[in-house]
Amino acid sequence: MAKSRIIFTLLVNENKYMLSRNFNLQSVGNLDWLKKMYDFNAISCSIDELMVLNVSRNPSDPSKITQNIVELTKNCFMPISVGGWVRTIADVKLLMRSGADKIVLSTPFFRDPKFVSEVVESYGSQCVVACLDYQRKSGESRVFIEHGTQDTGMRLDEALDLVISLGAGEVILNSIAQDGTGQGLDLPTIAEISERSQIPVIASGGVGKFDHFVSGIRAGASAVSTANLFNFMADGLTAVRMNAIQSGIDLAKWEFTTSTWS
Amino acid sequence: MEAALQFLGSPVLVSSKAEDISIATKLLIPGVGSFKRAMSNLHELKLVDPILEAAGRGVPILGICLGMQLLAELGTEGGETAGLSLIPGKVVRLEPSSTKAKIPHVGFNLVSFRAPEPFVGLESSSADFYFVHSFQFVTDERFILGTADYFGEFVAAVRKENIWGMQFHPEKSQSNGLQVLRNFVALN
Repeated sequence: MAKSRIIFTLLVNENKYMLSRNFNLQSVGNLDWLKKMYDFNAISCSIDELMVLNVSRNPSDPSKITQNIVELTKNCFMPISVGGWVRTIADVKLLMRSGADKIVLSTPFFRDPKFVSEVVESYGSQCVVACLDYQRKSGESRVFIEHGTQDTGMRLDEALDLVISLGAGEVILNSIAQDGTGQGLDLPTIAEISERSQIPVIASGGVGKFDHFVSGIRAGASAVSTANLFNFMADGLTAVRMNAIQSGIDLAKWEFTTSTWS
Repeated sequence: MEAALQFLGSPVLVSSKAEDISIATKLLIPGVGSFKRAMSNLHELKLVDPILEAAGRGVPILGICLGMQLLAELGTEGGETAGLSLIPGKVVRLEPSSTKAKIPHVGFNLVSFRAPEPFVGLESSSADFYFVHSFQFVTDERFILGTADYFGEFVAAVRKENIWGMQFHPEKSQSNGLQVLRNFVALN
């Protein structure tokens, strides 16, 4: 069986790493800060995947974050997903050349499905991760785009069917209400959508404690992601991994360091 | 892939030129996308013959993910397409035994080794590697180096003489994958 996955997500805006709470952004520092606060060798050996998202609220383009990707993924031997403001095949090509393995798309699924199909055709479904940002509205889970500002009018289950039909290989469920709160994942929704989905579900939004990873996996998610920059500093993610394994979550095993390799 | 080889201290050249292939002492064929498109790209770039010639010279060749699938005789993704035919077999869709199985198969999975060679240096008879694929290589038992289970057993690694194939991504499989790459790089 495929193992569960722990994903660390970095939110980047104009070379600054951001904390997001209910989609409100706060700058916390640049790449140097990040490297100071985190033991990168330990992190890169403690997570299954890294995700880097350009969360600029102003129109941006992927070239703005390629340098960050190159720097971050040096000696990172794991899958790298990159997203935010990806709108053209040229954008995709640039990001793949910079080290991305998967492209995270949200708005294009609703605004430019042809582009999504083009990416799927050129790079395959495994390269396309759909991100569905959602919140409760009129008693249902509604999907929002344009960084949570535009209501698509589509329920989460409808949006799931849409992204699958367009060829998404994985889907991120990101709860806007839980985002950055550290209060825990939206487990009922994760359970419902994971049951329905034929593609792997990545649970996101609300992870603040070790046990939140465990509960997300138990609810049915294939992977749990956190973008919480403060709760897992230093080698916190190594502790997260150990805790999950001790709790019986089936995570991949490997040596926790590559420092002896060079 | 380039970064992983550099990390291991191995000189590497990323190329799509026939003349580079003809002087390479080892050849790595990575690949993402669809079988049909990849083969047509190889034909367009006039790389099929140089790869086959390298194989004939005994150059160790390692196909990774789609690159492994291209070693087969036949692909079925996007219509039936002839592959490089370096290892007998064909590539078909994963057929998990449960409707609950999510496709593509994404994530780390345990590979059970049937032959020691590519896995030397790893501690037990199995290890975790990162997969992301919807198709699988179906081949004769004698070419199988390792298998994994995803609602049914599938082929994770193959070998025929100097031709190696891995369905998983060693370059994305942390220290386990680095060890496998190191073993390949060390081949004579």
